[in-house]
Amino acid sequence: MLKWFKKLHRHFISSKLKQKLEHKTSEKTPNPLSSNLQENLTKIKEVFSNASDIVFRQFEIGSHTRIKAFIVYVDGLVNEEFVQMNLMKSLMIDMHISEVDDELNQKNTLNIIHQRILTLTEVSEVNDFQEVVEHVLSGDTALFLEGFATALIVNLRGWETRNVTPPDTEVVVRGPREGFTETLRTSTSLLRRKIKNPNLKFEKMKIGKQTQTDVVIAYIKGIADEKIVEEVKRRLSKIDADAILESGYIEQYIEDSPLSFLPTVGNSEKPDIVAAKMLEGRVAILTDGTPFVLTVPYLFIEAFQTSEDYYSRPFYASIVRLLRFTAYFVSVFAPALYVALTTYHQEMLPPTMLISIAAAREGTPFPAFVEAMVMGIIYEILKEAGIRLPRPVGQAVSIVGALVIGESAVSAGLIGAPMVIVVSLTAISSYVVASISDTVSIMRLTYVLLAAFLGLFGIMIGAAFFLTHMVSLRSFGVPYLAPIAPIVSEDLKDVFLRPHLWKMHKRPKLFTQNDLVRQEPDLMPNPMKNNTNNK
Amino acid sequence: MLEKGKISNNQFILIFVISRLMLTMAYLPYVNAPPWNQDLWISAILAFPIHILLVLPVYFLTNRFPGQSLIQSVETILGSWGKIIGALYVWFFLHRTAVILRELGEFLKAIPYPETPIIVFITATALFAAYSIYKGLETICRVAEIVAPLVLASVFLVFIMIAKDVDIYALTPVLEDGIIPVIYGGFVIAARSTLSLFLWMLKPFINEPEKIRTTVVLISLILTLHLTPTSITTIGVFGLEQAKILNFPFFHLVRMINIGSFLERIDALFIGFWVLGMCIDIAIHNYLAVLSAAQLLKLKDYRPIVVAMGTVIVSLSILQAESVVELNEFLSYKVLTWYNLFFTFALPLLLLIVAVIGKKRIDYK
Repeated sequence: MLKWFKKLHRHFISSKLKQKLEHKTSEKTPNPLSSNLQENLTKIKEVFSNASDIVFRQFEIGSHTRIKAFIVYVDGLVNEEFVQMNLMKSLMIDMHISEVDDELNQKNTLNIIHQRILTLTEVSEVNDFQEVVEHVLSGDTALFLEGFATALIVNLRGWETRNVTPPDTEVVVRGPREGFTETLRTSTSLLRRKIKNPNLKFEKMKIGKQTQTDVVIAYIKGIADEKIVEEVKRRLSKIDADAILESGYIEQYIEDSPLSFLPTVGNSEKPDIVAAKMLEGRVAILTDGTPFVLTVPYLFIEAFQTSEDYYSRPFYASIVRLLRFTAYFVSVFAPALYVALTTYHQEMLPPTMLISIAAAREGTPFPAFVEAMVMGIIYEILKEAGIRLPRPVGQAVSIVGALVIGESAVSAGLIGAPMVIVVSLTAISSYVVASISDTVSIMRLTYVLLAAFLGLFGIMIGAAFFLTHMVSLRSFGVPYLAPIAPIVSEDLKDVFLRPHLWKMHKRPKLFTQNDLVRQEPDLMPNPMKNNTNNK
Repeated sequence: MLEKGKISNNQFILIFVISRLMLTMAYLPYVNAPPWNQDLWISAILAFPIHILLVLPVYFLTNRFPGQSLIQSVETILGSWGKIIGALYVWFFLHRTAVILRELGEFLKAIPYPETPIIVFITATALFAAYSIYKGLETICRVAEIVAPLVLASVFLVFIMIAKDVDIYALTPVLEDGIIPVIYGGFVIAARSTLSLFLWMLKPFINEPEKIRTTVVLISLILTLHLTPTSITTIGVFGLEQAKILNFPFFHLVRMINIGSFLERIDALFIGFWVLGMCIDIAIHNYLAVLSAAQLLKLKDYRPIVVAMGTVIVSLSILQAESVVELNEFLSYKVLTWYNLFFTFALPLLLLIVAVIGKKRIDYK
């Protein structure tokens, strides 16, 4: 019976696969352009029927031999001034007064226009109808000529874009302010300006059946591991989604463990951060239409390393990094520990502390667990409201949040004051490690639940479950908790502390085995030795 | 291959050290064993060479049958009769897991949770063990890699913080009853270790098996470096007679810590780490039970029997003893030493002899 089911299942799957393959091949059947201009025009008008933003312009080229032609472009995606000045003017006016006008005949028009007339840099010849449509939709201008089954694709793109501005999510005190923009080209140019190296590769792909979104895989050849690059390409090419509207869509289709609540794909809005990650051997995925660039492999400790750690001097940077780890543990465990200690293990608190907590909780109607859950959920609501609310209402929410829920709840005797302290401490701490603050919320509420049921033992069992889950994750083949577990002793120096830059003369071993040496091992600045004048 | 993961030698060290350390941190059964006096710390040092000696038969066996685990090499030596010996070892791991689970439950019931039924702790921890077995050996060892340094560091800190309360004269007179009980004590300490069985089961998965000698010596060294200060501080703070009465000497030691009357009552932290460590201890023992059973039954995958074994272990840990007193009876040096020694030393030695003779006979043919 079971075997029969298996057979049936296999049969079903294989027939489906076959269908899929047939579907794909039918899509790719060539659809060549006609050499008849009118035929091309009706065909393309038919494709773009009821699309009011498509512009067709018919005209003639040459004075002796008149050749009919037309251009197609999408209004709003091209720079109209350039179309007029550089394309139409060249073809309709400059051509008449130049000497090529005499040479013009039915056979060589395309060649002459391509080689001698158009002063534009990005011009290509396309024979396939489907390809022309794709180009036009991406913002290119297509030029059709009478008698040629080939269209000239001219890049005159220009649309409304956002300027390069400091991103709101990753604010720095020291370091470059610029952030990626929604335009793919601008984003790649920002990266290219950081790494002026021919080995920086941008491989382009189109993903999304409806949206046809441009996606660029960026990596440094010779540093990035070829296996990881291949894996990224493989996973991206497997995406058969309808639409890619943000890099988050891609992230959810390529991540290693979609059932885990922890992210295994990183993202950043800042070119310097992405460049630094690529220089360590990671691969970046840039998506058109969003400033958020994905980086893989993504490790847990990356949430604790900020770009400023490396831009400022190492001593305070190390202290700050330790503080970040402390804040992370506070934000995850503080409410749960409070619940466990006040409910189960009162004897473990120092007597004076126990007395003041007991005095503060005197007369409050709810057990600590209910307080913690209610306050935790209210905090999440306030956070969500704070993000969504229109700016003028902001003050009202902060007043209501701070006064009514904090101050008044305590003075009315509904919530104990220590709980408010714990929740606010937690809230502040969770933003020290902002990039994983959403997973912190999930963990915090889970631990509070466990603490309410089983006290300290519950928290620790939860921690054991959570640790096991974490160490079992992988991001593109790299263990998620590396280099802590498994221990990679060479990479461990940049985890809890931030060593001097001249101490980190090798790249992390985790991502790549190629070109591990960054610089000479001993580059410690020593002015007395280097400055010969002092001798 | 049942287990595809590989573990490093360091991970092996940490996983074994943590599995030995946890019980010592709570129960410290050695104060009620030979030499019955303040010379326990000398026994702890003497346990170091004895510990290595007890591993030797298994060491030679694993060299004779490289790439084969306990169950597999027993079957190679004895043929189908090896199944019986294999089943004995599966029982040993199963029973040991149940014992450790019960010890965890008894400690939690005795100190922080006097009113919670013991089955709650046992079931929760067994669930965790099952989960981590599903994730595989590599995962268990990686968790050990995070937890073991924390535990070792906290134990080391305890030694430093309690140092001012240690009365060093409680350790005199040295060698009051002569050297023989002290050596016997060292033997008892070493015999409680199951290093040889860990080695036998896990050596096929260790990525540098040629360095295993260093690994074994390091493990013995770490255990000695832990037990010696533990016995010195425990006897130095409580005195021998009170240490014998206390159920959980080391835990009470942690409770005694008071530095400048602000660094006190860190036993909550201690319980936290202890539970984490015990979780790993139980997970690895449970894993060995599951793996050995799967190898014995020649399964392709051990996952289907994880839950079944977990259920057996939970029931066994409840049913094996009426109370903590009964449990301690089994765990006392009079029973456990010889029980352990049979599995970790005597049986492997016999098998080694059979293997050597058997090989000769095959050579003569």
